[in-house]
Amino acid sequence: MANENILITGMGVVSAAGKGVEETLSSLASGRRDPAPPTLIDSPLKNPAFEVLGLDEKYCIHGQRTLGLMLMAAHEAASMAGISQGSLKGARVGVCLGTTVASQLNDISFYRTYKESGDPGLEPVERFLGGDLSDCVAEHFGLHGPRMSVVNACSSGTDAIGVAMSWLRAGLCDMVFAGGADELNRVPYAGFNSLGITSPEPCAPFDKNRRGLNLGEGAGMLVLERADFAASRGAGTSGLYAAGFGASADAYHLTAPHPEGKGLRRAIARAISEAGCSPSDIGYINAHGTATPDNDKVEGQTLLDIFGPDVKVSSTKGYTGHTLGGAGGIEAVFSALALREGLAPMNAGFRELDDEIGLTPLRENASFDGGFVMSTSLAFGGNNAALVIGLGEGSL
Amino acid sequence: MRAYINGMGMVSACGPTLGEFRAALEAGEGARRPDGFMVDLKRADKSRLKKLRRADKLSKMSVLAAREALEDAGLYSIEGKPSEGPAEGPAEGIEAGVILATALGPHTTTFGFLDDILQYGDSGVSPTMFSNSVHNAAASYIASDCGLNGPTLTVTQFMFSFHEALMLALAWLREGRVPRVLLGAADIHGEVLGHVAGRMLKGSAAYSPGEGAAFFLLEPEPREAYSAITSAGTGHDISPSKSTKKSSLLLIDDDGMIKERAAYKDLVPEGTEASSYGWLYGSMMTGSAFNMAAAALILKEQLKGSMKENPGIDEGIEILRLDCHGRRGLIGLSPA
Repeated sequence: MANENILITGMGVVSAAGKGVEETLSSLASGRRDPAPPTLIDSPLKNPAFEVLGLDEKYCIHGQRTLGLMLMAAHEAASMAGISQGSLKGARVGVCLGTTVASQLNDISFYRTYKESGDPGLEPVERFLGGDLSDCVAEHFGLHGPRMSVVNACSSGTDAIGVAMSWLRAGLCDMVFAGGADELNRVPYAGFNSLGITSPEPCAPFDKNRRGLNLGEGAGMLVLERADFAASRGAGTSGLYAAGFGASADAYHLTAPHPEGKGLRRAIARAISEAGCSPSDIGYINAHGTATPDNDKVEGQTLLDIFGPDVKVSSTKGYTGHTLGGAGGIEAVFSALALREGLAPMNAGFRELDDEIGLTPLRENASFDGGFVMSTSLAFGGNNAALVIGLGEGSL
Repeated sequence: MRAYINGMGMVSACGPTLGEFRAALEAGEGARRPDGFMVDLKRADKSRLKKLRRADKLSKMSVLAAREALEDAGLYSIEGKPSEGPAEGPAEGIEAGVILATALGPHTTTFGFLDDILQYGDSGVSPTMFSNSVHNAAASYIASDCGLNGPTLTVTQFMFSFHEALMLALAWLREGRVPRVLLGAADIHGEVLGHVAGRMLKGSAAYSPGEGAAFFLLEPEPREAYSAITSAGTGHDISPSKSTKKSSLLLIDDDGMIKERAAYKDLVPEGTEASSYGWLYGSMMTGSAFNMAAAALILKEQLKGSMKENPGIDEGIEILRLDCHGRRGLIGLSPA
């Protein structure tokens, strides 16, 4: 299958940067961001977080906020792709979504009752067992095809898109809803704090004085489909396509990245090779850039080494916080939008160059050349993933 | 596309090695204890666990099984590493992807972390506990222990976690993303799960909790292979093949994970020889992986398993799993 054959025909996104593509583009253009101590979770910790405020009532699903966020992004993506109820009848449509929170029964109230009385109500368990993200999205849209929830920590969303590309190439389906979602949740909020990598201030990716990450929440989804299938259903395309994907394990440490970025280098090399381009063709990189000392140092040095000092790179976590399993999906959408609009978002929070990294991310929104963009994700467990998106001729 | 099972590793109630699983299968005797089919890691080779002191039981089971699968395939000795005994360090050079399927992940560690929150508050929790509560911790330990730098993925889909993982492994091999895939399933039992399952599956006579890890080294070409994987799929409209030949077998995952056991009976084509191996490993959402191991051993070694005697299963074996919503998973194996 040629590299331009996996088209991106739909996109949907929700995060603190905006509910939907248009609101997100507006936020990124203005540089607006407003992290604050969380209101959605009951925790004595007060590190700022990026919450999605004012979520439409129909997406506020009791005990399943991650699913609500995912469905909102899915509806927008399906609409952009021209998918209506019943229009995919007979088609093989897969769903592959990344998450962390939705895969765990981490309901503190349920567990407290279990410990105290030994007889908790089973509603949270039933909700959990009925809440697999990919199952729920597939059932919601009446889709028939492979389903998978990727639980690869912070690279889950990017990995899910990579799985979708493999499914399409292997002929397992004609179209895939792919991306990721996570809600702000007390368990990772306390967990990341225990690791000492959360910042008491708004995060500052790649900045010399960065103090750690802020958690966020949201969802991002791409509708990917084979070009022949898109043509057969008369789908208009923007020319965006999923060009290449690479993933590689550091095989080094559970929580720290390899100091020389070994896995990230391999993942990037594979993604670029698959895309049939070279590093100089990458016009913009949406970096993982969590604002933790280790991640930004390793990632920044690696990007500088591969792409040189003039590469246009930014982390958008300054607008969204770290959305964990949702990050890869959200940032894939941001990357695709940057390519479509020809405008790369600036690295919110960056002020001073860290000489140890040597990479200066975008201080302002910037136009760029090149027909490709890349999104990188690094995760707990040493997972690294890179996605290259290309822009060909569209029909819209 | 066919793929071949060129190595296997097992940690189950039968014991922490493939050999013990095989022996139990051959003898037709499981290892059920009063509390179910629990894994006793005290019986595992301690030297293999020395780098895993901070890991939880799910990760330890996974690493033991994954490494055994590599060793079984003769892949652990490359780059100067010994083929027997503990590795000195990562055996760089093995090009393999890792896919770990788990229905519930490290839930016992997650509940341990919740204990921390309840007991010590949000600012007093253990970072080690948190790190190990992440679903992909086990796969990370595998990559690190075995020196595997390929794509490393942890996936979940409850009852069909293993089927979806297998389908992806076949897709990776087909597109040439990796030359081989270390595919596994792992799940663990715990107190809370026992409580929940006891209430939700009340009345399911076949339910008996299980835990363990099963790994397979899959390659596109056979090398003293156990068997070939000829198909894998999920959906509402797939059914096992009808065959009245004594040389084929249908394994049903009738391990008590759904209440409506009659649903399996309804799907077994008339005259088709059907069997179940839940008695070997217990009830697990990822039990299909353990059935696949049993099927691979039966095909290669013609073990009798649940049969009074093996009539010569040389056509193939299908493995069927159902969920309570009518969705089905089907895996097809044939002799290598």
